[in-house]
Amino acid sequence: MTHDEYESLSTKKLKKLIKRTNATLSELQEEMEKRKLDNQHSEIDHLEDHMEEVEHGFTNFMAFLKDVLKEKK
Amino acid sequence: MTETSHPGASAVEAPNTIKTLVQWITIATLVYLLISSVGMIGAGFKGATKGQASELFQFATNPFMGLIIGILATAMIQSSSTVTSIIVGLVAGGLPVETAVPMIMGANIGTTITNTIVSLGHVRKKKEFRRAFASATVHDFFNVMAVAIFLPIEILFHPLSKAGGYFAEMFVGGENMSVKGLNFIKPATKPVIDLFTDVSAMISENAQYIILIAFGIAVIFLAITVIGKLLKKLMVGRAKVIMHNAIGKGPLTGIFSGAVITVLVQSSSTTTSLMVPLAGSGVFRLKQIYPFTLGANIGTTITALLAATAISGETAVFALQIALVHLIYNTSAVMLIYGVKNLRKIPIRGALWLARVATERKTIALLYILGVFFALPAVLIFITNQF
Repeated sequence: MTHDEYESLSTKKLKKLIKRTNATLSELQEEMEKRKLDNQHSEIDHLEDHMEEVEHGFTNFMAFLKDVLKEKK
Repeated sequence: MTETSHPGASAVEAPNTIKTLVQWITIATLVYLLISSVGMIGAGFKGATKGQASELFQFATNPFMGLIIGILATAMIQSSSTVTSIIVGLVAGGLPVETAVPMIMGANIGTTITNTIVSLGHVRKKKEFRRAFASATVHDFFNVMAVAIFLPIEILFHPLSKAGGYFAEMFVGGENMSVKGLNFIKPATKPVIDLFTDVSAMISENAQYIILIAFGIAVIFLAITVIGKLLKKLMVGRAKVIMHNAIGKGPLTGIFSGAVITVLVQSSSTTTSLMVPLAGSGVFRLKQIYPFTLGANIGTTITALLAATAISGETAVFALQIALVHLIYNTSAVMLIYGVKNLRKIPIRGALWLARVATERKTIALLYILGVFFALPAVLIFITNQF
C-alpha cells in the first residue's frame, strides 16, 4: 500500500489496520523468539561435543600460534 | 502400542552400570585423597617451618606479591581448585590468612586463562572468534575488576578476613577444634597422612616435611584433574538439564545454574570454557553467557570449603576462614559488580572491545594472554622487589 492509498482510508479502517499489523508483528516476534530458544536448546543438546572441545587447549593454542605467524608474514 | 525392550539392552546396560559405579567409587576415593593431601600440606608446612610460617612467607606479605603468586600459579597449572586447596593447606600449616587472601584473589584471575585458550580454537572463523574471545575475556575483565575494587578495601579494612573469621568461628569449635559435624575426618585421613609422612622420612630425614608438601601438592593436582575428567563425563547429562531449564529465564537463574554446574563438575574452567563454543556459534549472546560465568566463580569455592574440612586442631578455624573468604569474596563481587547496572556493563564493553581489536590483529590476542597472565605479573614481581 502506498502513502496515497493510506490517505484515502477512513480513520476507522486505519485503526483496524494498525491493530491487525500490531497483532501480526507480535506473532512474528513470538515466532522469532521461539526459534532463538529452539536453537539454544539444540545447541545445548551438543554439550558432549563442546565438552570434548574444551579438552583441546594445547592443540588450539598451537593452531592459533600458526595463524599469528601467518598473519605476521 | 506397547514398548518392547531390545533383548540385548539389559546386557549392554549392565557393564555401563558397573562402569558408572566404578567411576563414582574412583571419585569418592579421590575426594578422600584430596582431603588427606590438604592435611599433608598442612602438616608438612607446619613441620618445615617449625611454627615460623609467617617469616617464611615474609616476601608475600606485600599483597601485590600474593596476588601475583596466585595468578602465576593458577595460570601455569590451569586449576584454581588446586591452588585454593593448596592455600587452605598452607594456612592450616601457619600461613597468615591476611597473606593468603590476595593469593586467593590472584587464583581467580589466573583461572580465566583456560577459557581464553579454548576460545583460540575458533581463530579460523573471524566472526566466531570475535564472539568466542569476547565470551572468554568477559570473565577476565570481571575478575580483574573485582580485584581492583576489593583488594584495596581488604588491605585497608580487612572486611573479607573479618567476615570469614566470624563465620569460621561459628562453624569451627568444640573440644577438638574441627568443622562441627565433621569430627570423623581427622581419624579417617590420619592413615594416609601417616603413610606419606613415613615415606617422606624414608626418602630423606632432613627434607621430610618438604617432601610431604610436594606429595600433597602432587596428590591434590592429580585428584582434582582426574575428578574433573570423570565428573565431566558423569555430569554432562545433568548439566544439560540445568542449562535447558535456564534458557529463556533471567540472569539470576543463569548465575545459579553456572554455580550448580561448577559444583557438579568441580571446575570453574570447565563451566566457563563450555560457554565459549555456545557463544562462538552465535546462538547465545554475550549478555546471556555472562551470568553463567559469574555463577562459576561462586560454584568453584566449594573445593576450598571441602579442603578445609580436612583440617582439625588449632588451625582449623583459619583454614575454614580462608575458604570462606573465597566464597564471600566471589559472592560479594557478583552482587556488587553485576548488581550495579553501570558496573555490570564494564566487563561486557571491555570484552567486546578487546575481541574486536584481537580479531583484526591476532597478535594482540597473543600479547594479551602472555602479557596479562605471565609478563605483567613478572614485571610486577620485579618492581615489588626493587621497592
